[in-house]
Amino acid sequence: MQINMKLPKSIKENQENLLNKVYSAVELTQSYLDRIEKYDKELNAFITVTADIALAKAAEIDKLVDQKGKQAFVDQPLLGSVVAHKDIYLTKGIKTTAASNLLKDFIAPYSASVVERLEAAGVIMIGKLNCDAWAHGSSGENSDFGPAKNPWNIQYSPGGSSSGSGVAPAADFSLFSTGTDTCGSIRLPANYCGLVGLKPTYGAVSRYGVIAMASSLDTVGHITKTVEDSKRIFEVTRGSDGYDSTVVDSPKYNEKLDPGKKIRIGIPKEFFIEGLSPEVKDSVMNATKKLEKMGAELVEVSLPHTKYAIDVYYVVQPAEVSSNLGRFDGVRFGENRDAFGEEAKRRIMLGTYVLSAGFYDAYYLKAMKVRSIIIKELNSVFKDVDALIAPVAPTPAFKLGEKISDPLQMYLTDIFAATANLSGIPSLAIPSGFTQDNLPLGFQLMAPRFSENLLFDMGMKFEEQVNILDKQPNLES
Amino acid sequence: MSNLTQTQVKHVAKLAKLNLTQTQVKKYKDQLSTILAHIEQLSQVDTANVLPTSQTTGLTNVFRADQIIEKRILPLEDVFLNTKNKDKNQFVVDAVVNKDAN
Repeated sequence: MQINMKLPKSIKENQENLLNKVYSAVELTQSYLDRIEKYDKELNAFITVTADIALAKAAEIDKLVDQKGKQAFVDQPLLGSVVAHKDIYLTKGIKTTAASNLLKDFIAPYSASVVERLEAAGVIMIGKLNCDAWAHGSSGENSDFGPAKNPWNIQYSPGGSSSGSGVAPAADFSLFSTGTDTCGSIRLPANYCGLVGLKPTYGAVSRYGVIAMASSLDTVGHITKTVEDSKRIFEVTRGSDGYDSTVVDSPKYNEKLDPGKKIRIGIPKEFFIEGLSPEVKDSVMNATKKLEKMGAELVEVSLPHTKYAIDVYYVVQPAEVSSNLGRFDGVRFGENRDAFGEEAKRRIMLGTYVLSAGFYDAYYLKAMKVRSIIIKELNSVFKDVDALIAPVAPTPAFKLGEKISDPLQMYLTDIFAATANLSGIPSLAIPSGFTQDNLPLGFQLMAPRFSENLLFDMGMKFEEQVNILDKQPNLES
Repeated sequence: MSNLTQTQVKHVAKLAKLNLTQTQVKKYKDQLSTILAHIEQLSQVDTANVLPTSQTTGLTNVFRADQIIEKRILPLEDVFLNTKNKDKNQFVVDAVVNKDAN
């Protein structure tokens, strides 16, 4: 076994390799484990590595492939795909910490619905990933287990809050990862690590068994190397499980897209403002031109109230955080509330304040009303266009330490992410190139609720033209 | 409105059941004031006759059958797996009511 074994870039490639015995599932898993062993001391993507569980599952898969051949991959559409879960997904019998000292010894008594569905579809779980504690943050630095580092340059943040979920597929520690997106926490790490990140429609995927942050905004999704993989995984995870009442089985997922239809893409001018890095702006505009060449029609649109999205978010989210984190009292599980880190306390304080007597109307009620205006504007724009294109964040990856002492600056990282969460629409972050300093660049496509299939279709056409996967981060330096 | 006082910070901490050090009180007072000042831009938006949004997919009430789902019942062993303080299959909690009060 050698550490330089060529690891797969997609589910399809991996399954062909397993079927054609290019490698066995055990060899594949061991190869990922060797890389984690060698490189993760520096990158710090994992909180827990589940080597024994992964190798046992891989051995089972090798038997299955021997017995059933091709049929094994029909029965289990993700068979042999190696996954790592953000450590706020409960995994039965395995430590689940939310990257917080408060849950440092917590053993999950059951698994999240998404974890179970992925298991049933044949994945190999290799471990649990680092993140900002309780998913509070944009850089990964709020983890009580130390920050994860960007594989493209270890001086830089991989983006947060799903920091390890960006690092793992980028560093070939897993084929894909799971994450959560309450305000960019999947799209930002995907964007900063050169990967594809799906923030699904609110209500598309069950959140049962995923530690709640802000319940009117939380979505669970995944980070992959390709758009096609994102679609394959979404087809397994979406749909109601009976345990999350917000999940809707939308008939839209069964509609066939009309291949002849000209797609109209809106460019919202409020997302191309002062403060946007020129490199990010140029790369998004280049992507826009490529989409136009592929047959899309471009339209400038205006969403004037989206400039308030981040302010609405920083009222609604802490309010819901203060409520959701109320259950952590150290009685049934975990340490007591003194074990909350600085950022969790800050958000609980902010949320408690905006909900408290005398301030509720001015902050919380006001924010919920502005949220209605933002949604109305979006609904109206989507009558004219099929999708929107925008930057994921104002800058490429920033340096670790750059924003951590200034909470407001850290919060403003997510100004372009908030709109999708506040309105519940899906957004797909797609990589498109690199900065002069060799840091990944990309953009996000947003579409009306339950229009993931349109995003996947556009994304797959784009990645046929622009594929950055030939370039790999150099972990040796 | 956005300039919080130390008294307000301490009051909010008490509501949230958080113990803060004096250093933290000072730090949060300044940081939360800065964040609230940014948030107060929302007052520029005219929201007369606008209804608040708390849910984005248009769901109203969701009901399910009133029945036990066996799969969701945890064995007692798992229920108490993560507690530090139990007594005969019960969680031990701090006293909520002062026994001397009448």
